[in-house]
Amino acid sequence: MSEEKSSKRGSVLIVGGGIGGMQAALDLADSGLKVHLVQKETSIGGIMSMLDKTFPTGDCAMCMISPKMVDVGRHLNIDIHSCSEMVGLAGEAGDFTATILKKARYVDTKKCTGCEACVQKCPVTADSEFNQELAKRTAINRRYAQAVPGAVAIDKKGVSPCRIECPAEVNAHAYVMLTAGGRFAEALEVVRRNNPFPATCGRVCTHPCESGCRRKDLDDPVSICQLKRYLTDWEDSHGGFTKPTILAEKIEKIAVIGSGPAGMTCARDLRLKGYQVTVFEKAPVAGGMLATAIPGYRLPKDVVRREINTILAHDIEIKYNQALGRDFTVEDLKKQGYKAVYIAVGTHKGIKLPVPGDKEPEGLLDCLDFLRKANLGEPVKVGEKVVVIGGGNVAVDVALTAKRLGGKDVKMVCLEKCDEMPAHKWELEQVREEGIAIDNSWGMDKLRIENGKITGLDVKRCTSVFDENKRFNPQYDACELNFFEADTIIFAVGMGVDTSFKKGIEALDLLPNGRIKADPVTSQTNVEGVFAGGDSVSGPTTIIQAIASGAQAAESIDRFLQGKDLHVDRKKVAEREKYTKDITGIKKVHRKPMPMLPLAEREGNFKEVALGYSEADAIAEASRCMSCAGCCECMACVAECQAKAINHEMVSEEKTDLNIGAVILAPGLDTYKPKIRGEFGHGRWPNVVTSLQFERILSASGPYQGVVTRPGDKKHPVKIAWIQCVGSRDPHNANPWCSSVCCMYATKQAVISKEHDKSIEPTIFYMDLRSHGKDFDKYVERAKNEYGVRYMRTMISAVREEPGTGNLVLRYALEDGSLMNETFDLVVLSVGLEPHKDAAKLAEISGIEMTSYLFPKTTTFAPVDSTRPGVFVTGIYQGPKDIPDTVMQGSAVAGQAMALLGEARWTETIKKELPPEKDVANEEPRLGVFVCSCGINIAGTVDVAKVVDAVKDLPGVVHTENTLYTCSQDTQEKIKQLIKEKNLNRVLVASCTPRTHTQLFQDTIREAGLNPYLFELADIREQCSWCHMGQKEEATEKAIRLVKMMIAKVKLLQPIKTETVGVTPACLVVGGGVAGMTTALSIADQGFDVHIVEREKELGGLLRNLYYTLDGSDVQNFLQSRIAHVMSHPRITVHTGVEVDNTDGFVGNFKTTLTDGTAIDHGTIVLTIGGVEYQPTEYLYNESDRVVTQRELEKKIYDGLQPEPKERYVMIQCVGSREEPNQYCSRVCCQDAVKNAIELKERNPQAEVFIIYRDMRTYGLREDYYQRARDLGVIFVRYEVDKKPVVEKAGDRLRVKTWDYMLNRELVLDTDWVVLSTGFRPHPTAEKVGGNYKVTRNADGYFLEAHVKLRPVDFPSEGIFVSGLAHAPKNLDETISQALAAAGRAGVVLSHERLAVSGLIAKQKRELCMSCLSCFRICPFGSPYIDEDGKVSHNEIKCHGCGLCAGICPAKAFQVNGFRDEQMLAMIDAAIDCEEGGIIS
Amino acid sequence: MELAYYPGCSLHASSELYDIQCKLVFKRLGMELREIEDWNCCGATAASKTDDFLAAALPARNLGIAAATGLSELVIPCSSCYSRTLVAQKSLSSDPSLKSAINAELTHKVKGPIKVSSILEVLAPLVNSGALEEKAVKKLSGLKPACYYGCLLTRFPCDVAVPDDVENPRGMEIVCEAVGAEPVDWNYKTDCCGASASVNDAEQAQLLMSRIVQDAVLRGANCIVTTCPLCQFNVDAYQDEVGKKYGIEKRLPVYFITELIGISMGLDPVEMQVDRHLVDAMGLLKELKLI
Repeated sequence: MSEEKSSKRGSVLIVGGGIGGMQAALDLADSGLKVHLVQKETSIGGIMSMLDKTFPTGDCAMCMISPKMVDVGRHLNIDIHSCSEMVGLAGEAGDFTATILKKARYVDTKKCTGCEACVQKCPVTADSEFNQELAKRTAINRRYAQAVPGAVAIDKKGVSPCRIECPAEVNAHAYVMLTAGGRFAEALEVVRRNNPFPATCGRVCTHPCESGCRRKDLDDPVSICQLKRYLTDWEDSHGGFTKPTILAEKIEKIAVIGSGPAGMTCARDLRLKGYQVTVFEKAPVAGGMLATAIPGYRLPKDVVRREINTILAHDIEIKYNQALGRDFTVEDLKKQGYKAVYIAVGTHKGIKLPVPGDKEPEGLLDCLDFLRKANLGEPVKVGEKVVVIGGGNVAVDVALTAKRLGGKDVKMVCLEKCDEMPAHKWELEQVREEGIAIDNSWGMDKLRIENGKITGLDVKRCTSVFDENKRFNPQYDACELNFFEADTIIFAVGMGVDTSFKKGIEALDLLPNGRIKADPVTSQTNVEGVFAGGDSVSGPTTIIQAIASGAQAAESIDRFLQGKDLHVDRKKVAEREKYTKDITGIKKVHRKPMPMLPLAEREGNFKEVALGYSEADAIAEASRCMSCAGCCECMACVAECQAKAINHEMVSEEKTDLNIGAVILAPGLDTYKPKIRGEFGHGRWPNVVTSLQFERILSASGPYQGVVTRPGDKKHPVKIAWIQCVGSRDPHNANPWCSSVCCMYATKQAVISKEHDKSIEPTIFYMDLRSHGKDFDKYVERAKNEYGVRYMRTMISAVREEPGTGNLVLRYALEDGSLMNETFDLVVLSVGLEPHKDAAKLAEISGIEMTSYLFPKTTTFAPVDSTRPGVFVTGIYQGPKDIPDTVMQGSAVAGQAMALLGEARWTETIKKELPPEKDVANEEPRLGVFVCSCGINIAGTVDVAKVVDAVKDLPGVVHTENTLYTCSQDTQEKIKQLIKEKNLNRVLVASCTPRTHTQLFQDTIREAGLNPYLFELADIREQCSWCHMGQKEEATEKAIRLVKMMIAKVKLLQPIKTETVGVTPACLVVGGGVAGMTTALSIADQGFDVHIVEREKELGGLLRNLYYTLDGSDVQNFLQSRIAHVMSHPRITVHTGVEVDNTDGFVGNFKTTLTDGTAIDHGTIVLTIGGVEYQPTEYLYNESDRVVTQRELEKKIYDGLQPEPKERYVMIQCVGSREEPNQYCSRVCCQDAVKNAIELKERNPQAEVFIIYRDMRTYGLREDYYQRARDLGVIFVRYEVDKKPVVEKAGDRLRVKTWDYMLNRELVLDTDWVVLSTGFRPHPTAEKVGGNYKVTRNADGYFLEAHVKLRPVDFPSEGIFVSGLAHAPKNLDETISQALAAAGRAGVVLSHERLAVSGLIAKQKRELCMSCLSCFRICPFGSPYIDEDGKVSHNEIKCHGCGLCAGICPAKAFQVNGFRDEQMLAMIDAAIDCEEGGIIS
Repeated sequence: MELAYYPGCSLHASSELYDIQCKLVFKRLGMELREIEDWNCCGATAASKTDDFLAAALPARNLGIAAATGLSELVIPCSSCYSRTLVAQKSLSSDPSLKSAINAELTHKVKGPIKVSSILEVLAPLVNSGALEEKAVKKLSGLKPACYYGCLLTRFPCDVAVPDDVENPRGMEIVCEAVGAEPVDWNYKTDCCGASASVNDAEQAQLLMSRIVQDAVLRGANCIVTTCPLCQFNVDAYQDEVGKKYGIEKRLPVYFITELIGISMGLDPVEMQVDRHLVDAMGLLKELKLI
């Protein structure tokens, strides 16, 4: 490693935390480069975390990916930036500046322990993205149980429109959702936060919220208003209002003048803040207009009384019959010690039109006076013929009241046209319903009065009410006159302020119309300490406006008294971003009608007309809410979170700059949206699902707990059909490319579904079966033969739903042309992969070029390099591929970044400084036991206090404690402190799974100076509270036993010393083909020495026989430049014409001797021994020089072959492949055939090319060339393996006979050339090399990697890697990717000066060993070996601690650290002792 | 607002009622249909299959006449005429030599981009703007139509932008919902009814029709509604025969979309000739108290 300071940054930014991004992150961070992992979602894991099982091994995807996620999450040198995106990238390779945009999670990931208590309380649900809309999730949620970071996150899209509309900012969204969940008390509490009048507003509010409701655009708005009323009805019948506790009492006195909605709201809000409030009311009753103006049939008077009493119950004093200016002055109040005054006296003066004469005629009434009397039960005389003048809501009230008071013929007369009337539509409906006539467009001319009594009204036609400025400016047509006979006329044309209060505060400024002048934001008047609001400031408005006004004043008065600025930071909900939900496809559900009092029962009384919802109706109505903006901000989560991790106030977006040396783009994929292929009915027929949905259906953590269930009716399907290529290989409707993975995942899904439920009958409808990967054909054969999966080569033209059953009828054609209809229970659409929806944006931000398909531009020779140096691309972003190829490319980009930044390693990484370890080996055990509640996760089922009690007095236990969240940061500190204070020397935590948490606690006790192996974890969550939910007693008993067992073990734990070994920073590469050279160059560029050993005289391997690639690039040029590059690299030594004689040693410390005697010390080995081409014996290959292999044809083409017109070439595929005993696909032959066919046709379109094939496997973007070949006129004829083509000599020419399944007859082709597409065989030396390095091979003789999915270039033995053909047949670009991956993996080892060896390994007691060789034979890692003395020794460096040796050793010479026999026996003893009620010895 | 109107042969013959209804309904909606003068057969049935030139030339003449009206939109209620005219318009615009060859013979030349609309293309925006609901005062409660688009309305032999979902169109459902009917979802919305084969291959046509009627019945529809005069006539005229042959007991009246709108607007069913259907179409409306 270079000591000089590098100009390059030692850090890498990775965009995307799927499996590819994670692999790159781990490789880079493990090799000394700091990693920033940017993830758009709340957690890493990508698509793989959604999968159930993986092919071909059938391993659980989550079980595989979860440990990797934990590793990434806990890595000291990987920073996960979740909810973030890269939005800018400046600089150049080695020194970039990336701009990261972070969206708020609203949860502090450091504080959140992932207990999910909040999730239980969240009232909002939405379709779960993770479960592909097959299940619901809450607004606050964790993507899935194993998510990393494990913190929950809140889905907050903005503010719902209902909330935006409410002037008082009542959170309609929240209380509707809570109501939908039957949580009425909580819902009402939410309403009351901003509105102390829920019963009133639940009846007579003008409900602007409903006009905002998004449902109005679908069917009807949610009946938000009436739900409030239901809540108060419910409260009244469930014990009534409970007075809240005032948290901080204050001594300041405040006077509120006027007890209407504005005054009372202000009073209550101030009282809640702790002030001492007195309300002064002029009338003998409280409530203002609520009590005096709104008629009882709409708002019963006892409802108002109860509401007022509820507010007064906050300990608010009220003084009745006290009028400002009449009974007291503001000066008086100040003298009495009131620190502030709020004036909200309303508009209680009715406006009257000019009346002739100075005496009011009998029968002429003023609306407010009329209503007041009616409401207070005072006598009011109404004649038989009543005319109400006015068209507003008050006029309606007056008319309906007049009717109830005996008016026989009640009529409304107004200036406005019908649709201009200011009264609400629903109010006018009631007017019509109750038989009151409305006469529009009349203005009063004069009253007719006889003998001082009203007799009628002369009117004139009103032609327009408003002028062009929309100002009130009525125009009349004096020619059109009319007369209405009346004995009573009531004016309802407006209201004004009764300014008599002015005498009580002469200094107050009023407007000319009598309204009080007050600041619109702060409610301040010109008099210091005097505030004003409600109608007396704004003129007549609505109740909800008045409430808003009162609340605004309360806020101001509080600020005023606390000496704060009255203007700043007055956040308004309406100023926040409104979220408009997409309502396409949402089912219509109309509003629950409100039960109404029958018309007949309304006459002559003031009974309430609206009867209110029942509980069921209220819940049903509330459930219509679509929860537009996600989170409703009810704050139930905040109340529930004991870790105080939730913060709804987080800044929604934040930008930061990161300096890094390289950028890796791994944003992953999107799946094709099958709606475009409408004929398959996805989104229309419920039992048609996508393959990703089916993964969730199969998954144990999915919507149906892994029981194969169809979504439509939750029945268990028997016949399941898979339709392949949905969205793939379809240039017209969808994407032209092949998605590479669908054939295999469909096969896997068919197999796994069959494993879940034997009765299932799977059928896969496909075009070509593309199982081109390693061992994939064998898997397909097993699916066919062992699992009975039916494969049908046909395309589905339509999916119809059988009426009534929900089954699906698939229509398809057989090869003979006959049409079939077949019924299935469930249809799975194998949807293809496509570039991430943000792929183009990301490319633009990153400054890289894309193909027209929106994949980044790369080349065969540099498959992971983008067009911008220092920016690498990987995984599906680079092109469609499966998991192993993605993981491989993850390591490949890591290798490339290491090659770029190798010199800057360890410059930006951090290392934990640890105190020296205390020697406790000879101390008596002093245990600290921490029993975790995990919020309520454990404590909800297990009686944790009882567990603590049961173990606290056991011998050796010094400290026992129940902790809320043992994994939280503060508890970690506490544990450290207790270790010091109480001199603890062993720690046991009883909590969740050791898988995710052991290392955390081990680190903690190490930081306190204890050896990490003195820690143990008892799982009382997964193994207790979760699986025994509802069995509190038994679970507690089990928890006690588990803890006692672990205590017995912990006492016997001994410190384990972890060893380290030095590393020789050099690599041996066996094989000098393109894989070996590529690996060597990358490792050498990273700064390490490399030795290439090539048995041939020259470098180059099989690539020497390849001339051009599918995309037309010159292979030989590339090869020559690569060889030259290798030969001239100062760090690479090439050994040609020799072989490895012997290699000895272990990771970091290998010693190799070559056949020429050269000795090499090296730390890693990469096996790139390649393979060979199959030499055919069939199809007259050796009998005619007109039968050639593709490779031979390629050379002829390269050498200038010019086909003649009509010259015929017949290519035969799968020669020597996909047949026993070589039941595997050689992967390259289809493309080679297509490549050569295109070349021939392009050279002479008259030439005739036939390709006789089994399945055309032009996977991924290679599909384009298959299309091109067809366009050029290449003819493709399919054959089956049991009817192979026959090649015969026919004079000078050749004759190929093959069965044509379309024509259903034999096809005879006389031809000039037969071209055989021959596959690969393993290298003949593979067996020997394998033996040398103790690496295994698969049934076909290719090297077997450590894990086919997640460790595609590793061997089980550390420090040895594989790439290229030695691993399996593959294309050139794939070989190069894998070679770079091997370099990356080797770089991880070589970058360390010393390697730590795990403490959890087997220890050999050599004196007990009898060298029976049992361990030697069983160990998969080659740790036991035969030593110089002929007896078995144990190489601990190679040991993985799997315990096989300990299990098999008859002499008990092997014991695994941490799982020693005496520890296990002590646990069993403890368990049995407990059983018998004994005491632990 | 005024629209150029091409009724086509069907609307002047077997489906005359559709012509009458279109005019009545659009008038009520404030839209005048101006039938273009001296129009000719569009050639959809015979010419389009036998002569490529005539296939374009026949509609071209109509397009020329329509353009001469100066109106910007030509509405064609018949799906077959609509499809043929639209496809011809497309080939004329993509083949300038064909266009000039045809124009050379025409008095009214094909010029300018007159918009060719199906009846649904005109009606759907009226739903969005609320104009339809405003006039449709009577809600057709209890009417459960299977909306039948037929094979021509959303599928064309060349690349034409389709204003609705090709496989699962919704335009007719949207109109039906706007007038208060409750359309069912079903399988055979866009399947062929075999109208063109009902004379020469009756058996095949009846098989196709049986599937359509059967599915509509099983899905709980109490009527079929369509915009295509060929489909309407075919499924109406042969339904009894098909039902007997395939064991379908129920008979479904086959309405034009204009009839449903007309009823909801309170138009006289007899004036609209609703009583002229072969499967009784009045009974259901009476039963549901809609007339």
